[in-house]
Amino acid sequence: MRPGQGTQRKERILKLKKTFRRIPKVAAAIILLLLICALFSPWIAPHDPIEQNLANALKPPFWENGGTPNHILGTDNLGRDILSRIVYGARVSIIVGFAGVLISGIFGTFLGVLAGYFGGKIDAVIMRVTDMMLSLPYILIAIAIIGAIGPSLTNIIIVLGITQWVGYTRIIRFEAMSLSKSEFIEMAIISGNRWWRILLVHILPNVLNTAVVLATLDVGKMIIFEAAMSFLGLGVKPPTPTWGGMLADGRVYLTFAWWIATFPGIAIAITVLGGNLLGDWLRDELDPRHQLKA
Amino acid sequence: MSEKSMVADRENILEVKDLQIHFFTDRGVIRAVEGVDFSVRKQEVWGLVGESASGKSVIGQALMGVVAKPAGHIVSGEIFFKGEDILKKSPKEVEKIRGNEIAFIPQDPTTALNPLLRIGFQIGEAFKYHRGLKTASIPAEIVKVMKVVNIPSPEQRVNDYPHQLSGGLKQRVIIATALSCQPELLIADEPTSALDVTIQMQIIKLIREIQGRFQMTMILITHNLGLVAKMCHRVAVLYCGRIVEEAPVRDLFREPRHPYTRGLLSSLPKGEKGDVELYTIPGQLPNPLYHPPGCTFSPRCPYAFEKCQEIPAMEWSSEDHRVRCWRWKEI
Repeated sequence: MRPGQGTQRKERILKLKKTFRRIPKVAAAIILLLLICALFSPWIAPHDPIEQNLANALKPPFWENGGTPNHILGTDNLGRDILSRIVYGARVSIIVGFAGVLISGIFGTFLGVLAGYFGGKIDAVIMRVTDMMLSLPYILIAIAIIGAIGPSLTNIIIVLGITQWVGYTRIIRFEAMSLSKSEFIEMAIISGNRWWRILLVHILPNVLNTAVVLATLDVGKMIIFEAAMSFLGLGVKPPTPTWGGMLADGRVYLTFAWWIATFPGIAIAITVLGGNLLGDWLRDELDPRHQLKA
Repeated sequence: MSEKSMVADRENILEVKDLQIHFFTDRGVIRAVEGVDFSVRKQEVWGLVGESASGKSVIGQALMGVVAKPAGHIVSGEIFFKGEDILKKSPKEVEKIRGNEIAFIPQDPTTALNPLLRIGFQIGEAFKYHRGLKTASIPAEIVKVMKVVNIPSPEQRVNDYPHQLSGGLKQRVIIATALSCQPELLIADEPTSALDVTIQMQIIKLIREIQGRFQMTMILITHNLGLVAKMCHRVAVLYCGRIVEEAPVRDLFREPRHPYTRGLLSSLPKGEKGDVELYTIPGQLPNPLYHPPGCTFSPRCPYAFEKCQEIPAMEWSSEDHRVRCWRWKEI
């Protein structure tokens, strides 16, 4: 009855194949496209994203009256190619979105698990700090920090890390709290686990689903946050193309040159959608109970 | 009978003296356990019966050193395990005893297993920490202990997740975890109440067989009097955090002394034919925040009189039978 080594390996390969088959195709395609854009922008973009050509300014997309196939999605007020700027802008968005989520997610989840498991004074201190963070408008904190250390991509990520962990802490703390009262944690203590192992092996994997869902929703938030910061002139310095910056620039021209703000907006929306779909899948994949369905 | 009298001569493995556990909540202090004394002899099966909220599970948690923090506190008392007070030990020393020399079977097997970890891993944890086994030798030990609790095809089952097992199998996994370090004392907190009746029988048989085979001492916490009659040598009845009566099982069922025990026993169905209304004890459990003064059972007791406003003392009615009631001689 006992399966031999060979069949076990076959089973593992089969399982991998199944897992692969369950990846949502649309989401995977979106994320892949984004990654390719970011990695190979110089080869994909038809034009230099910061090259200005005022003679060519405010050209509509090619299917509109006055559009040229040279600039498929048209040009902005300074005559820069919109498509090229979107392709290059993916770099900033990806870096800000993922780095911001990673830093704030890891930090926030860690604090949430600590607060929820230990309770008492540790919980009180962490929760009062999150209350403080929540009561301050994050834009204010961001302005203060950026004002002190100057605008740059790294600093934007630092600001995101500092301001955005609160949501994770709040939600993860609650989950960790109810988990730490559960019988299997009691059993784990009885089996001789130390506190750090209980946190790492028994509680963390159980709250990871929630953290992953929060994180995928947050990727979009981060990109939009970067846009807001760029809009205020506190984000990535122009002329580096960013989706948020383009959105901000195009706002003024929205009534007669809708394409300047619309296309980066669509790019943000599609990226957020891709992130959310992938998050849904990842959450199910992390839960062994879900694999029965396969 | 002979086995039971043999047990009477054995020395105590566990002695609990004046144990008080309170829960400090926002609404007030809940006195879950109010001065409990008992002792358990080597290799006996000692039953602890009581209604829900009588404090029986809390006593079990206290013996394991896992009273729910931050609300729960062991206010006073001593717990001597093999002559040493475990409440005075350092957390590290407690860690060595808990799960190793004293093992625990919880109420509900479905919540007692981590849903994200393979059952083999969960059984193996105790091996790793308490017996200090090398990682390489653990899988064989896990399979061995799974065989002891009759889990079919253990070699494949070790890689299963809890949701792939039935309730009965999950309880077997829990028992395997409890047995992994060959404990001297096993505390079973309603080991069958979450299972259906046919599985209950199997699990009870298994626990009994294991208790005999490994010569373990066992504390059975339950509200099931039938189970007590089947498994225990001696039994204590708990009401509102106090032991009201303790006796060898036979004596308790034949001559219950305390009005509460009598009430419990007369509420059992006796196998009459037709529609016979079961006896119920009048009233209900008092609010845990405001226990009545004196004997906590007095408001529901048909024999209550003025003196019941004072807490009755524990009295020995015979050599092995004690009762906490002012009027036990009369009734």
